[in-house]
Amino acid sequence: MRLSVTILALVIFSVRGLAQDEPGVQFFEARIRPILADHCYGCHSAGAKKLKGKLFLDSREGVLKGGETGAAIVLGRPEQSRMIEAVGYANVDLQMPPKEKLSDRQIADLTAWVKMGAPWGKGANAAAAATTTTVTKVDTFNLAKRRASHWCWQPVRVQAAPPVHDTAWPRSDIDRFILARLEANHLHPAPSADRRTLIRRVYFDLIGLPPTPAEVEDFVKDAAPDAFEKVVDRLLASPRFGERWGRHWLDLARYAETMGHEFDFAIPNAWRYRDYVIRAFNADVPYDRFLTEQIAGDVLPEPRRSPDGDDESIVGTAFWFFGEDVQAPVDVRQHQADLFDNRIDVFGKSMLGLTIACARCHDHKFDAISTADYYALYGYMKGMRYTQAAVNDRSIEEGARRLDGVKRSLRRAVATKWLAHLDSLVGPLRLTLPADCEDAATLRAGDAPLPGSWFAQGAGFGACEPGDFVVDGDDRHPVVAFPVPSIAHSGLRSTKLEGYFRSQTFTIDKPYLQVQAAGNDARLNVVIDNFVVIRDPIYGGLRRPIKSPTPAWITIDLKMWQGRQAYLELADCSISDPGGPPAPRDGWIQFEQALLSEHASPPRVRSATEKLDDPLPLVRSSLEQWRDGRLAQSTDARRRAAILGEALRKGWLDAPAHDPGIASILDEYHRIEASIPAPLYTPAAADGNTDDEHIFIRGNPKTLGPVVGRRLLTALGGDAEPSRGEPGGSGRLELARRVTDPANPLTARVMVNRVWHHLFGRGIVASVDNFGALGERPSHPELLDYLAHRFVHEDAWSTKRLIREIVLTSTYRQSAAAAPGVGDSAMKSDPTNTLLYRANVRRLEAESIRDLLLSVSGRLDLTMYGPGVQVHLTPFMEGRGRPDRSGPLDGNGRRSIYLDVRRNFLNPMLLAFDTPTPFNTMGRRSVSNVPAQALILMNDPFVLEQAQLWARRALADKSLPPEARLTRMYESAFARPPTQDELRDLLAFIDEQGQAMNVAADQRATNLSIWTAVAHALVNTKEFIFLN
Amino acid sequence: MYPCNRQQPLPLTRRQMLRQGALGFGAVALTALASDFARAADASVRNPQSAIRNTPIPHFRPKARNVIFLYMDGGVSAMDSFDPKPLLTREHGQPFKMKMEPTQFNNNGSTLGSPWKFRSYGQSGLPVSDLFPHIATCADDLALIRSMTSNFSEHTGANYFLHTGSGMQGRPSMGAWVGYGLGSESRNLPGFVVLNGGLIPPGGLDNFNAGFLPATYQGSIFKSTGEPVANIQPLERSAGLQRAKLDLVARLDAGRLARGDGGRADDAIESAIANYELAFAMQSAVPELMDLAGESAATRSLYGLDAPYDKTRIYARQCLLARRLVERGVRFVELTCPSIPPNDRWDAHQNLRKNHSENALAVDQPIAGMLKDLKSRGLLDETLVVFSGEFGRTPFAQGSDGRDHNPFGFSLWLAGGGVKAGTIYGATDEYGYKVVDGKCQIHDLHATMLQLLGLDHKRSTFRWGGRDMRLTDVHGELITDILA
Repeated sequence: MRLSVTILALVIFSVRGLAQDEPGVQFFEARIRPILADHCYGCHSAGAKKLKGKLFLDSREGVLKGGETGAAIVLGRPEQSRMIEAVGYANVDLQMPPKEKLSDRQIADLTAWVKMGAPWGKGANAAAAATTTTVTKVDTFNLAKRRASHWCWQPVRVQAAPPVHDTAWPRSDIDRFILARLEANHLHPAPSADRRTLIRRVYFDLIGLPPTPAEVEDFVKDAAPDAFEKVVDRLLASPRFGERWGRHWLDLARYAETMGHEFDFAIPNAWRYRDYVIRAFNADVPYDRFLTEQIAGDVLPEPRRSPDGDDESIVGTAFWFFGEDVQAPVDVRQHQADLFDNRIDVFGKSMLGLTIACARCHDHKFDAISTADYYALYGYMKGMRYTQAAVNDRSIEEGARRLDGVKRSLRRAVATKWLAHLDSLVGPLRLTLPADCEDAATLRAGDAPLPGSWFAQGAGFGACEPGDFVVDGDDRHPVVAFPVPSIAHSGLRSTKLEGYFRSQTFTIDKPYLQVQAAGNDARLNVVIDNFVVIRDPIYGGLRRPIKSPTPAWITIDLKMWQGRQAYLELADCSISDPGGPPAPRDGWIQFEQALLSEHASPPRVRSATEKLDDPLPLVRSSLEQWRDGRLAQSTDARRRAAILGEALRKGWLDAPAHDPGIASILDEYHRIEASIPAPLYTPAAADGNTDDEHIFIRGNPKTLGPVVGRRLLTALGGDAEPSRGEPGGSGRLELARRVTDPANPLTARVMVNRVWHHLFGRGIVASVDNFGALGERPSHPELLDYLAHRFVHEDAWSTKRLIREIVLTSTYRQSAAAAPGVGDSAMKSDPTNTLLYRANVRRLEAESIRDLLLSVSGRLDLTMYGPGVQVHLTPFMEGRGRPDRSGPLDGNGRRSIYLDVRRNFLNPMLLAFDTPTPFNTMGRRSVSNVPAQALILMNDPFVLEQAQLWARRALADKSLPPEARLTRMYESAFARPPTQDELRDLLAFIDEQGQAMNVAADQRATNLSIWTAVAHALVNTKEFIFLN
Repeated sequence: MYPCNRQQPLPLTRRQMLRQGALGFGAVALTALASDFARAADASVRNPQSAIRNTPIPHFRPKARNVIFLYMDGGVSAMDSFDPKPLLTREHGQPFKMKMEPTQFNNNGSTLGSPWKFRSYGQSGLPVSDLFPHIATCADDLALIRSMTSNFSEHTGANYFLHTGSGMQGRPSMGAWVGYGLGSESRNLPGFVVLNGGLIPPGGLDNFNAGFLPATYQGSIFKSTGEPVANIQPLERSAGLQRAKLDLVARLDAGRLARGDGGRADDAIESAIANYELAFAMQSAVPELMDLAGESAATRSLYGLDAPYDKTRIYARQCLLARRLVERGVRFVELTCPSIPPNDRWDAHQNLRKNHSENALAVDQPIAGMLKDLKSRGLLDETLVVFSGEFGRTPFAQGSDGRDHNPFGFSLWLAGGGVKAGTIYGATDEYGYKVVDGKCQIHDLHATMLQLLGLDHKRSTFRWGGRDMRLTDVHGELITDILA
């Protein structure tokens, strides 16, 4: 402090005597400095309590340098100066001082001062010196320091298990870590839970369903030392395992089957992702591989294939697209920023346990994450496009290749036949030569073709070159056209094949887009700032049908979006665009050209014409070239293809007679065509070209800072090797590699902690989605590192092995009742059971409660996979986008994971029991306690229906005495027989109900109404929905 | 402590009572306190670092205890209701002279004068158009804000923004925040009730959800016809049958607790048991609430329950129920509008005159009736009434006779507890297009509402996703000029 005062004094001395009496300076001192001091310094000076907008107005340098949004003044130009704009109060978004407008005279003075070049008085430089020192004070974000000081960034350390006194209790090193802490705190672990409690616990934890009474009995009677291991291994191998653990992942991926917002449009085929996740957990796909598929499954060199050859990996990329989406944002750029923010947020929380999105507007307030880090990830988002991809691409392509082969045979056969008949037919020919999109004669000033390289997806847009032809018709007319596409065609191999064709991303720098295309049952979309839900009113014009047998122009008015980035998408596939109309199967597109244009009308194609008096030699040589597959290589290939086309149109190539050879080739073509499977679409990522993104100052996409290269976070080594990404791609594969790098200190820790959380009800780090400074500290840091290291280096990222190791511990097997004598002291020293001196009593999750009901009632249908079961609509589920029909009350008895997740029409029962609203990563569900839960179990028709089914089931064997019936019911719901007291209460209840319902005493043992009441009562006991 | 005698102390013997289970079902409910149990569901999800404590105490002495939020779905036109613009009438039919921002439908016509006349009312001389002759008679009770803005010009984003302070789905609604901050004063009704008059706004039920707050705080939808609350109606043939069943459940639950070790392990089970008591009490409280038979003929006609227009009668019932809810200690009551086809809410993209006339006819008398009734019962002083849409409407026509969405300047009013009645705050330009004075954001409205309820919006936080989340995000300035 003393030092800076000295410097200040020196500087003042050094400027003393400089032009103090100039009129400008006098004006400044008399009129301007008082205004600044009174109205501005509070927020814009070295002495400000809190500097606003990084703007200093206490020095001339500060004024000229400006703040976050640029210079405060332009010398001599008040009308261009933000400061003058601000004090003028004309722009409601920029009004300074914020509380009260300055007087007209003050404004006039400031304006005059800027006009005269902003003279400054004494102390100018002094203030500047103070400014410099303050800047470092204000800007306290120090990434390296934060990284060094917070535990989560430190490498995972290999941990040896600590020594313990009680050597009999631990079954594994995990137990030693737990026990050492208990012993240090003078606590003892609880005894092992009894076998009935244990098997019910492990069933729900691993598969989310109760054990059957027979399974309980087997376990209770199994005297083998590995009895529990056998149960655990059976559960890990069960297909039900993926249905339970897949749901945990879906909570992280904010999985939903609609986009929410106003109309709740479907995300078509979202359920394939749900099925993929279930399969992946059942197959125990290594976790690093699983994450790689989420991030970049579409660009893997070797995607993982299902047994029938389908692409599994690409399904993972749907992960990015489950966010809420909007159908008509007025500001599409802001919309993109919000969409990407959600993606970055979900990515950071789910995989890294970090709140990266907090750095959207400013450097993270607490963690070692800079705004630059955030926009480094934004670049990856920009280069990634939403698509629907066929998972059965391989079998489709296989069929398409066979079609290609048949077409070659057809071409030879047809050419041979035509050549034989040619002489008698040919007369003079007037030829219209095809226009070339690059043809300077066609383009006008102000027409600019879109960049040349395009992204094709799907088997439809195959290679296309002059001489390619459309197959159709009968053996007399096997070839119906020789299109000469300039850029692409999707109907050449077969109109049954389909796909997308997309341009590079371009900046809309002209008011119109002119697209020339032919086609049928196809459409084009102009996707601006990755906004795909193209809808009326504003965006309707950006989606156009393509319906013209010959190339025609489509003009799209882009005036509203000039300056924005966009890509053009052509599609003939049978999957609807988001929020779009249904799409038929047989579409095709012949795409000629696309131009950005200053002109509202398309260019007139001035095609050259050519008159050929004796075209025969040319037709013949072209046919020969065509027959031999050489036509495309000839120097005038397009002209020759046009000649063949014209000859075909004129009927010169008509074959006079039935040709059994050609007919059989055609038959084969159509047979293969019919055998090609329909595409099985899944929402997925497609790579586009991409730019790195600018930093958005204060998160505002309109105020751009410097560009940041794509990379992972600085604190995770992202700065060490700046990413260039794959050529032309978004670089996501590289991102995936860094996320799953064994040296990444977060990925494995976050996952083992999630598993721990699901098995104990509390993570070692309780804030499972946030390992940052505002998250909770690990209760057992050494154990966390032990598990993370083992997960990566010994268990090869196997989730099943990790789970197995944890549930086989003595820690997991503890009873919920503390060891004798421990409870009282622990209630004081460890009231929340952080140290795990006993098991936690846990409420079942929503899905398990519903599945349990279906299980005891016998209604459970274990069919796996497929489209979600339609939501059952109650009168309380209202709003736009409400489905036309209500689904079945009992969801067809399917497990809860197979119920359709419609964002705006969530299942009220699941919602009441805390199934998360799918808007963001939710690794730790709430466990709330609301009257709606009790009201559902007491009065909901679904619950009543299941209770009645359960009663029917219990009554199926009429010969059983009531005690035996009750015992069976207890065993199926609670994995134990009733106590004597409970039997007494229940029998009394049966009598009481019998009397109230006027059921004769001898009928009560088999009366459905009474037993429905019994079943319903059992459903409402807390033991039904809690795990001990 | 909270200056309110509607809360009752927690009995010391609750745990013993639960564990004995001897009194049978329902006995504990007499001494149970809903908010306490609701908060104690699971120790592991409690939020110890959150600024609001488990037993909520306001940050300052509250001016209002309850909120009635009159949500004008679709957006009322300010220049046709509370913000007169004579220049519009003068330039009616001429090209609009200001620069037009992008609009939702991009089908902008010429300047559109208001079809309604304005008059000044009361001592304050507050101008109100002929759309709202009844509300006009309460002019001296209103604090009018003419300078509100929104960040979204499309319904759903604007609805979420108005309700949750964020334009995206998934954040807690203001009613949920209030419940979280202040707890409930009702022992047998939820703290946040949405009286659904027929229109669930765009964005759906997520406008009323608890977001990342525990589900306890989520808005409960009460319907005006049929079963008012989901699953409130017992399916047993008689109350006795249900009672006997729940008695059995209570005994079995007591047995389960008796088998535990008596420690904290079973806290969650105790809370779940208590929750049944609350649900059981709700079963009778809700029908009692909905039964208007005890209301006098004068009250009924004050609200317009006998009005000739059926939509007025629907909204009258809503308003009367709002008062009854407030009387029963329900913290936050939101009313949605009745459905008046073919109008699409207040969303007058065409035929402004018909749309606004019919909507106003439905809500005007009931709202005025409610204000007067609250006042005569001494309830207006402790109830904050807010009347607002998600945005306003453009001063230029959409097509020839409609108005598009306008988030750049619109009006809303507050009345009741802590509000400076008879004031006008802020101004739009002479066309009513954009704010020129006293620009407010939705965050400012939220901050001010919380303030009146005794909550500092900056201290009302819930830690989620690495941040101490607020209804007002990082924004919000008190609109002090409208505070009494």
